[in-house]
Amino acid sequence: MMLNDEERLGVLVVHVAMPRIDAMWASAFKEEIATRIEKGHHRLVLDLSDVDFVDSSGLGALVACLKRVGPLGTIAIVGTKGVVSKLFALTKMDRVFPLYDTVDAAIEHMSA
Amino acid sequence: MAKAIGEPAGFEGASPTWIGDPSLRGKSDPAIALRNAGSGKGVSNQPRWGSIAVRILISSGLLALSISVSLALEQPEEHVATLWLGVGLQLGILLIVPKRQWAAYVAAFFVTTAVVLWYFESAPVMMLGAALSNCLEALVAALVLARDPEWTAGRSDRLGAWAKFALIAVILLPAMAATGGTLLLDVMSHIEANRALVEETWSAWYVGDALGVAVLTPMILRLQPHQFSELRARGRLAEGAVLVVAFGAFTVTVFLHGGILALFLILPPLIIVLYRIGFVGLAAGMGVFVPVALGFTIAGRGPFVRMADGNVSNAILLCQVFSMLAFGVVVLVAALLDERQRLYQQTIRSHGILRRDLEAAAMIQTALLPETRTIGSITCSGLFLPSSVVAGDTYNVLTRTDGKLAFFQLDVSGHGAAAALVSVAAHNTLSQAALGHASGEALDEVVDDINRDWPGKLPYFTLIFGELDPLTGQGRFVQAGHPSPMLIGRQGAPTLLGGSGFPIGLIATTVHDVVAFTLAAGDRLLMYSDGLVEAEDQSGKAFSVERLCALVEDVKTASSQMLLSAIERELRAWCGSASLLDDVSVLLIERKGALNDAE
Repeated sequence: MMLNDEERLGVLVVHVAMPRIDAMWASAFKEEIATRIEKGHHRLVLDLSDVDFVDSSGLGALVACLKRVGPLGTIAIVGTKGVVSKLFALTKMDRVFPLYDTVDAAIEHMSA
Repeated sequence: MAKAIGEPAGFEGASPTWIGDPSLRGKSDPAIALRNAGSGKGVSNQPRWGSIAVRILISSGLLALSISVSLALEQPEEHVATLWLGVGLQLGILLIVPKRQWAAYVAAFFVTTAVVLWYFESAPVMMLGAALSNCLEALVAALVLARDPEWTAGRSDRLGAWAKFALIAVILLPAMAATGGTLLLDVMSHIEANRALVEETWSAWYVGDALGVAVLTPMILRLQPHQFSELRARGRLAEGAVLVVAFGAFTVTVFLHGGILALFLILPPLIIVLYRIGFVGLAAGMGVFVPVALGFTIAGRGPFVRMADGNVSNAILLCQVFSMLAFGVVVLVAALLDERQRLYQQTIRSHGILRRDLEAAAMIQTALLPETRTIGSITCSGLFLPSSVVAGDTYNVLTRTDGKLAFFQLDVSGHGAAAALVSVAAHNTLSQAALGHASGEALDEVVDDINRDWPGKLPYFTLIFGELDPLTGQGRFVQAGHPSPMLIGRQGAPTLLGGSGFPIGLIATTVHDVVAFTLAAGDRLLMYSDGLVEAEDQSGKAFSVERLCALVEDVKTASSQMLLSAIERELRAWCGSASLLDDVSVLLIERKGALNDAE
């Protein structure tokens, strides 16, 4: 599981350095993000720039993370493209997660 | 010697009904059923006292014979016995007869041993002492080993069982018996205080006893008739016979011509025999090797005599120790192999059970799917391709009381057994909802209600839930995160309907849109799960909606059945040898028109 963390202005940026979040990786991914939330990070940016494919299990994992941070937390998503972007649109998850093109834009918006 | 070794095997073969009572041992085991069927009608449920007495008599006769063989052998000076077969035979017999008959057998063995020893002019104390020690040794070993009935019945060759056999029956008890016997001889002043003589007597007694157990007991246990019928069932009986004969010829050659090093060449062929025909091979192999080795050594020939510089007495001791070590090594190797084989078989078996379970579940799941059918002007057909045996996809088409058609297709997140179970639950929920809601009720409200009530612990699913009036071709559907249905007209390119919507069971409160559509005569509505367009080729490239559209465009004049076949064919060609990563299902609804009727 390739996740690279970076903390900026009180926001935890997680760069997901793997091509797929699918049935094989979904639950491990969910656990990894959950441990970060447990450690007190309730404002996260998930950078999916390197992710080419998310399936239904992967989407389920992302939503589970969102439920985990609770109503006061935020999970913003950055860099969705191609089929990942289409999946977010098809399932209306683009209305559930704030989506940004760049990490900078997300941070700027979240720390404002 | 060879006669004595061969005797118990012949005896076993001659009277298959002698082996206790198979019906007492695990009735549920299919191997037992096979064995019962194989051994014929002679097995009665309760052996009569008469037949038990005959068996005890035969056993005692064999014991007398084997002890006589041991004693009658021309023993080199001061050598107690070259190969003491008595204990091994007693132990083997006790292990294959019912426990409640042991007392009778042991008593008979005691009397027999004492009488034979008396015949060979042993001193009375020696006679009783040896008989007592033999019987005790066999009885104690049998008591310990009989606690593993699977092993004694030859149905299991676990390493642990053989290790226990080697430790208790071959090492510990013979050592105790030898110690007792040597002390007895000492007390009787047969060997006065000659320390060297005491040691030699002890070791000769010990290895003679131990070797007898090591050779004879496994032979009796493993040469039970059912072991042969199992070999025959595996088609290895002839091969086994050839291998054992070849092994015997090889052993004789080594003893005729080979040197000391050639002795060790015996082990690999013995292991091969074992590997091919199992512990029956070990029993037969040892049954060949030991008489050949002892025979040559007693006759003053072969590598052991050379090793002992011509001292036959020492050579016999060497021969016995070597035989026991060989037995130990081979049993170890064989048990390890057998353990692996057993685990493998166990895995195969449990995998088979799981597989059959899944296949039964798959049959139920497929039975829930609607068959291709025509309702008025509407024809419905589908394609269902699970990625494993069962799928998280499902669909249904139902006729409502108001004459309208209700349909849905859903895809549970994930795949495999868990997704399949959830899909069956969702199938039921959606079918109820499809039939239950009045024609006036809004479809989106039905879907929103299902979403609200969907248990949070279950995986979510994507859904197309719709209805169609067969008379007018007017229809509506709600799209819940499912790929957009495709409207295939007679003319023009296929168009994708709808656009987006929240899946069911992912977000607690949702609002869904209702999409209206019209199926003109000859139009078709194609619904599919994402597994179809996300299916990847060898290089990881997705099948894609574009490719599906192009394919549909190409074959849109074909019948629905042909269209579905074309999709399946194209998909399989796309995936190549790779299996589907996700479940694929397609539901096709066609409204026949005037043109169709004319065709």
